[in-house]
Parts: sequence; C-alpha cells; structure tokens
Amino acid sequence: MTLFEKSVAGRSAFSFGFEEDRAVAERYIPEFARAAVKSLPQVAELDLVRHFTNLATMNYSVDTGFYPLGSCTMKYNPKINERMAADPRLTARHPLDDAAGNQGILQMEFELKESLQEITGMDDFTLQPACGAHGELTGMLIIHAYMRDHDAKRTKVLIPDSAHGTNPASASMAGFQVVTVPSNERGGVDMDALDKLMDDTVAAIMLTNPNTVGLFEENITRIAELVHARGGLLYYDGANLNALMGLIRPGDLGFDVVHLNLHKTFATPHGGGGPGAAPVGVKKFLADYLPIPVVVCRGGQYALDENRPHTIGRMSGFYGNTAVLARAYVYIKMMGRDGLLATSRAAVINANYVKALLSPYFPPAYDRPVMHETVLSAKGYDKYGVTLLDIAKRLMDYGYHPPTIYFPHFPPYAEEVMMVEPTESESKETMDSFCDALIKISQEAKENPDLLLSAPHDTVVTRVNETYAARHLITSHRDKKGT
Amino acid sequence: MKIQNDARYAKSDEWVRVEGGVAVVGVSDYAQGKLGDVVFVGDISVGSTLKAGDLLTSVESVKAASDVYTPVSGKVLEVNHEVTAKPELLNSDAFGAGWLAKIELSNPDELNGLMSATDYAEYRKE
Amino acid sequence: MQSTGRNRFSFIPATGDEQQAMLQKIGLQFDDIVKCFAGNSCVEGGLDLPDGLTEDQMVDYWDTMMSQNSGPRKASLLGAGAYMHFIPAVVPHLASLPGFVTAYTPYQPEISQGTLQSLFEFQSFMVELTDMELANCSMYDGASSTAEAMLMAHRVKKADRVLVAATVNPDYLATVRTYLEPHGIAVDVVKMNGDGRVSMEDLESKLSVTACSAVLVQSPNYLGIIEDLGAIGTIVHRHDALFVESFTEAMALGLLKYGVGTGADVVVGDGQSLGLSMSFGGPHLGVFATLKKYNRDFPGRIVGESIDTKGRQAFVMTLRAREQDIRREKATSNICSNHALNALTAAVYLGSVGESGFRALACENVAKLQKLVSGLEATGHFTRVFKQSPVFNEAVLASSIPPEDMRSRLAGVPVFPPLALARGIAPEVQGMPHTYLICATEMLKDSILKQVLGALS
Repeated sequence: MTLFEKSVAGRSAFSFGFEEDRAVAERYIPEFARAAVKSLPQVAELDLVRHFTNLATMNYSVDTGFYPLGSCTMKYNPKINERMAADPRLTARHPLDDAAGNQGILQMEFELKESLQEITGMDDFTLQPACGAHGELTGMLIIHAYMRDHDAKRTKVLIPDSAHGTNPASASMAGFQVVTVPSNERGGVDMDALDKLMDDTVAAIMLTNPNTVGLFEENITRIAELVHARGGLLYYDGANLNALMGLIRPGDLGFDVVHLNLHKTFATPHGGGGPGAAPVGVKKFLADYLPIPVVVCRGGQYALDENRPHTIGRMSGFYGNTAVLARAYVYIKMMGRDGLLATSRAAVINANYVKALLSPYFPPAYDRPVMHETVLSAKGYDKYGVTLLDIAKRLMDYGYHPPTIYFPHFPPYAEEVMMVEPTESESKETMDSFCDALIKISQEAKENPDLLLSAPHDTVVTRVNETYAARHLITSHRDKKGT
Repeated sequence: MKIQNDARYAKSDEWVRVEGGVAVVGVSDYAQGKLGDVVFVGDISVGSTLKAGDLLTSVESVKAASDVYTPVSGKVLEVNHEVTAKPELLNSDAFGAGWLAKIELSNPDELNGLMSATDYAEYRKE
Repeated sequence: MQSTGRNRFSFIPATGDEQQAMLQKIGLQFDDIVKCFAGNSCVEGGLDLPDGLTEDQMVDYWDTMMSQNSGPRKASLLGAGAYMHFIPAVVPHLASLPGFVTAYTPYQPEISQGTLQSLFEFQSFMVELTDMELANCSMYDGASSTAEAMLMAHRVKKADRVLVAATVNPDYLATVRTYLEPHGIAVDVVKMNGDGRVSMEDLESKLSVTACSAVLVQSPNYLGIIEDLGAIGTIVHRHDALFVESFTEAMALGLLKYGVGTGADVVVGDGQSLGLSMSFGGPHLGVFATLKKYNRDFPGRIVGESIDTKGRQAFVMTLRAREQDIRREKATSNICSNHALNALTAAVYLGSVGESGFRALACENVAKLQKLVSGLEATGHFTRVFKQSPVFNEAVLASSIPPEDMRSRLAGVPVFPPLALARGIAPEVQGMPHTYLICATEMLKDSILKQVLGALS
C-alpha cells in the first residue's frame, strides 16, 4: 500500500511555526498561483516513520547480506564515511559562497583529486560528474572537443562487444558514431579486427580493464601502441578498478582519459541507484578541456578555477556530488597506500576462490585466472527445464542477492551467464555458504525443478510480472485513480 | 516456430505476403519468439513512402527492442491499429492478426530477392 | 607479495591464513594470477600515498580540515540554484536507513520492493506537483535534467535549433550548451524584456525564422521573477516546438502553475529544496516530468505498478527498452544510476510537510522575501529592480554597497551574503551601481532579519 493510499484527511506531520497565508499569494502572485493539490497524502509523523521503515526492510542490502552483483562492486560502506559526510560544516555550505569560507571543503576536494591522480597515474581530474555514465559522457565530450580542435574527421569510437551498455550510449550522446570491436577466443579484444577498424576516422577506443568478463586485457600495451600510432585516444572505463589499486595504473598503461566510480571502488553507498560520483582524469594535454570549475591550490589557498578557455563547459549546476566525494575521501584516507593494495588483492583472491568452488557446476567460458569478478555459465540447466533466471530467483530463498545475470551479451556468453563479484568485503565463510547454496540449487534443478520455477518463495512478493507492468503502465498514483 | 508458406522473408525476420497487388508486412513468428512478450508496437504513418530496408517501426518486449524494416518499397496504405493497441497479438498471431502494415508495391521484383518459406526455415533452423 | 598473518584493515575480513587457504583451493599463488599483466610492471614501490588513518585519527584530521570553513549560518541570502530550507528530523532519519542506503538499483524486484515503492511514490509526488502525466524516478540535478529535456526535444522534433530564454540560470544554460554542442544543435537566446522576463516579441520572431525543437523557459527565472508560462506556452505551440519548463527552486511547486495547464511538454528542475541539504552543490536531485505521448522518448528510469504471481501489488522498473543496457547507442540517454536515494528523501519530505504544509512553506517564502525587500529598501541603500514583476523567494536589488563591503558588514551575521550579479544582467540604477540577487526562505526568522537590516543600515 502506498503512502497515498494510507492518507487520512486532516492528518499532518507538518511542524512549523506558521500556516498557509492565503493573502500572500493573492497579494503578490495573483495570476500565477495554482489551485491546491488535494491528492497528496496526509499522514502523521509516526505513519510516515512506519511506512518508510517497513519499506526499508523490504530491500536486500549490503548491510543485510551478500550482494555479489557483478560489475557493481557492492562492497561494504564504512559507517565513518556517513558520519563525516553528515558534518553540518559540509552539508550546510552554500556552493556559491566565497572560496575563503569553504577552504576545508576545497582542501578535501583537492586532496581527493591528488589521491585519484596517484592511484590512476593521470595528471588532472574533474570531480564534477554525478555517476559513471555522467563521467563517461564527460570524458567522451573532452575527446570530442579535442578532436574538433585537432582532427575533426575522427567521428567514430571503437567499443568492444563486451562493454557495458553505457559506453556506446555515452559515445553516441557525445556525438560519436559507435563501431563495435569483436572479442577474441581468450575474452580480450580481437587484435586483427582492431587493426582493420582503427583508421583515421576513429577518435578513440573505450575499454574497461579488467573487462566485463573479469579478465585483464592481455594485449593492452599493443592496443595502446596501435591506437596511439594511428592518432586515436584511449578511454578507460574505471568500473572495474577495484581489481587494480596499487597493482597497476591505467595512466601507465597508456590511457588518456579515465573515469572512476566512487560508489564502486571507493566504498560510497549505492543508495538504491545513486547518488554516486565519477571523477574524470586526463593526461596533461587534455587538462584544458576539463569542465569548469576545477579545484586548484594557489599559494596555499584553495579555489575553484573557471578560467579554462578550451573547457567543454559545465556538466551540472555546481561542482559535483560533494557529499559523495567526502565519503570516498575518508575511505582513501583510512585505507592508505597499503590498504588500497590489500583491497584489490583480496578482491582478486575472493573472485578466483568463488570461481574455483563453482566451476564444476557452472563452468567459466575461459580457463584463465580472473581479476575481481568471474562470469559463469548456467547453460546446461535448460535440459532440466530451468533457466538462469530461475536459479537466480531461487538464490533469494537462500538469503542471497543474485549475481548479475544475462550479462555480458556477447558470444560465447550469448545466454545464461552470471557475473559474480564478491569484493574484498566478504569473508571466506560467507563465500563458502553462498557457493554451497548455488551447488544445492544445481541439485534441486535436477531433482525438483519446480522449486526453482516457482521461486522465490520466502520474499515479500513472489515473481513480479514485468509484462503486465509494461502493458498497463501505472507509473504514478494519478494513473491508479484513473483506472 | 511457425512458418507461413505463402509469404516471403527478409534476413531481418520480416515477412511479406501479397494480397491483390498489396503487400502485407509483419514480423515472423521466430522473431516474436526471440523477443518474448511484446509490450509495444510503434506507430507507422499512413501515406509515407518507404524504400526496401527503411525503418518501418520498432517493437519492444520487456527485455529487448527491435527495429522492423520494410522488406519492400512503396507507399504505406494501411496500418494495423489493433496491434498497436494490443501488442500481444504479435505474439499470438504473428502472421495473421499481428500484421503491421499494408504497402502498395512500387517494385514487385523486390519479392524475388527475399527468401522463400523453405529457405527461411533453413536460415532460422535452431 | 607477502601476506601478513594478521588483518590490519577493518574493512577486509580475510586473514592471511584464510587467503592462503583460498589460494590453495584456487591452485595458484597471487603472483600467478597477476601474470596476465603481461610485462606491464606493477606499481614500483607502491602508490605514493600516506599510510592509512585509524578511525579516531580520521575524525581528528577531518575536524581540523572542516574547521577551516567559516562558521555556521542560520539562513541564506544566497540562492541562485541552491537553497537553504528547514529539514525536518524525520527526513534524514528515514533516508539514512541502511536498507535504502546500501542497496543498489532494483534489478531484482522481489527483494527491492522498498526502493521500488518509494520511487513510485516519488514519481507520484512529482506528477501531482508538476501537473504532468509521467515523471521518471530522478536525474542528477536541475541543470543536467534540463539539458536532457533539450536532447529529448531534439529526438522528437529533429530540428537542429533550440531557443533558451535569456533569463535562465547561466549555469543551466552552460550545461545545455555542453550537452547540445556535439550534436550541432544551435542554441539561440531569447531576449529579456525591461521587466526581467522573457520577451514575447523576440520569442515570436525567433520562432518564425526557422524550425525549433524546443523552447526553454525557467520560472522563477534566474532573477527570481515568475514568467508567464501559460502565455509563452501558447506561442511555442503555435510554432510546433516542445515547451520545456524549468525550475531551480522546487519550493515554488507549492504555489505556482506548471505543466499541462501552461502547455508544458516537459517540466524539469532541481529538487534540492525538498529535504536535501545544500552540501556545497551536491548531490542534488533532478526532476523530469513529461507527457505520456513521450513515453518512448524520455531519459531515465521509471517504476511501474504491477502484480506478483499471487496477484498482489508489486512494483518493478518498466519502459526499460529505452535504456542503455538494452538499446546501447540507440538509448534515449546513457543515464543508469540516478539520484534514487535523494528521490526517496524528497518523497519523505513531501510526506512529512504534506500538501497544506508545502503550500504554507511556499507562501512563507514569498512573505519572507517581501519582508526582506521592504526592510532593505527602507535602509535607503537598496532598491528593487524590475519592481512590477512578481517574484517568489528571490529578487534583484540595486545597492550602493559594493560586494566587499557587503561581505564585511554581514560578517557578524549568521547568513550567507547575497550573490553579486555581474554587470549587464540587470539595468543600472542611478546612484546604486551594484546589483544583487537576494534570497529569503522560511529560515530567515525575524531575529536574523533584524540583524541583517541592522548590519546593512
């Protein structure tokens, strides 16, 4: 039941020292005042508290259990981050107030920028983008502007078939034509295909490394040489950086532009789908193209620099998701040099461990060690009449969030694959019992497939009808009243 | 997979059947099966003139979206409003009630470039 | 690389022994795994970062750093896109519940009903307040939502030209330009009239030249003035463009007309005022509401009501085939993660204040600004520019006090000083060479107002 359906006329949780002053509207804005909206819910404060507290319990979350959603890096979100980000000295600051009054925040942002430069091997950063896709768009707009100034015939962007959907969508939104590069039999970029496609109309190649199959791109040096030699740039999608911190840096591998997902690698919470933050790093020759403003430090004073003549402009109203940046800053400060290395190391060991335990039941397509996540196949289970979706839904009955399913889409992964990313946050016993559950489910598939087909059984709702939702389109309380 | 013998087929899974000089166009039963439950069929404008291979409309399921191209050239004479209102017709009767548009054939020779039912069955053999 | 027996990192549970046991099961040493780096050397000597801090050290470090910000403010004369409003305690309390905070995008609806239902409720609030037919479950902020609305209009109308009112917040305009530039869409600015509102004559004449995909107007506009959206909408539709209504101050939704009644095709704006702190510019909340006829064209995620296998009410993401993970380069936008938690926060806030409270707050904002303006005018150092035009909670005032002076005079008052406008934005007033965009909200209590007026007299 929605809050709207719980409304009782006359109830209120409003507690201010004034009431509606009708004369104000009549006097100052007579022709523009709208009629009162009578359909908003009227509830008392406890109604509101119970409503949302109960909703929160209907969510699976990292704080309640194992959330191995591949490519999303659902690591633990340290509580100290939340406390620091809720500091009123940050939350109550107006973004347009004088820099002199915001030296603490600007110092935090500047130090965060410096840390990210060191972690990635890039020369400069913008902290403005609001999340991964926004970071990709920012990065691709930078490349677009650079090519407009230097080599305007380069209007295409190469993207491997294994890439996240955001990559082609971002490239297209930045005005590029997208060309897909196939993968080779080892799960990396097909070098022959790249050789053919990489001509003087190509502005850049977008790569995720480790890629979406959890594999490090073995040919990265050759790719970088080839693309650079033919006048293109390399874009690094940092979705999977959690595998590499302190081990290897995208900047050293030849990438010219990177974006990082702070809500993945740097432990800021996912919030049910954001807000995140996605700083974008560039090599020196692209620094003039960063969106304004850029945080700088001059003579010990921190400031926001708006003077970048080649800037792509602005990506949002202000300077980025400061409260999210603060969480990532605290995380990096607390992990430090050794902690970040230990993080990536543990993330890689955990993923390979899960792969080792599950391989006999759900084979990986490539017989190679993986980085921070592993892609496993459930293809053989169709002979019992169950699909991967059924397996995933059954996992919920065992108390786990399913892995990412039906991604990546490219051969040999066309169908029935799950991507498991345990992250460094999980203990051996959690992974052991998760794998036990999947192994049990693989037995159930053979012995009692109905158990999977009707799953989940122990959740607040059973399988939700997506087709019904799409054919009946009720997307607001107003639609319900209409039906 | 149902296949209708008196229709010709495009590689992109559209079918065309000629009825009294007019081409009736739809998507094949194979294609609807791949899409799953169809939840949306886009509008097609009557009177527009299309070349073979032009975008006719797009259809959506909850998990996929697919562009539909006209296999023949000509002017759109009539569209199936019933299928836009009830997209599930595409699932239940792709060759019948799920037809999409009627096109006045401007170049009947194009039909020869399309696959026969037998060839299409071979092409989409699972 | 050596593993240590003792775990020194509280966020990594595995001990060295456990990692050894895992590596044994894997059948490889860690160095074997990273052989795939294939000659690309590891970071030599490790990253050049300091050692990690413990939690208590972190608190000290943070405290020292944040104490360099200036002291607490009880109200703000500064608005221009970020607004200081009262946030009821229940709002951050509920929005901080870990079930909401540490979940992700509700891909698996059976175990995500909390997020899905709260987003459905947010959409319902937005549909009511914007008076539109359909609202997505959030965008990043007002500026980027506005830019996305212009891209949507271009997808629908395909004309490579859009019009933007000169009275739109300049940072929103800059964001629109950034988004449209690579597509070769021309952004023409419609002139402002002497009354601080968009010129209907210029709009009409610019629309008559060549086809436009969209006309963007903001209300209240950058100067705080309420635009006549209904009259503008009529002109826009005569020329077959999409009418995009934008707002920076969501509190205005409590009192002003937007949406179908004023001819809007899209209503976009920033929802920060709905229970979210300013947090130095982010995260804010992007609002995007439109008409059902554009339900295959709009960007961003949307939640629909459905049923489960037992016929019970259940929520699920819908209209997914527009999105990047399905349609890749043909998607309506690249957006996936949005600002879901902030949408939930806004839903809690609106549930808390309710319709009558929200309207009361909007009226209070209007009243406070009027009180501030008349108080400032009474000092003799200020006069309102665009005097005849209706305003919401911001207004432009000309003043004899220069910005540096304004700052120092207000130094002892717990308010953010107003925004000094660049020359040329507002007409010059004899003897008062400086212009300010001044904001008042319900936070400007009489006692603070008195201090402000005292300092500026």
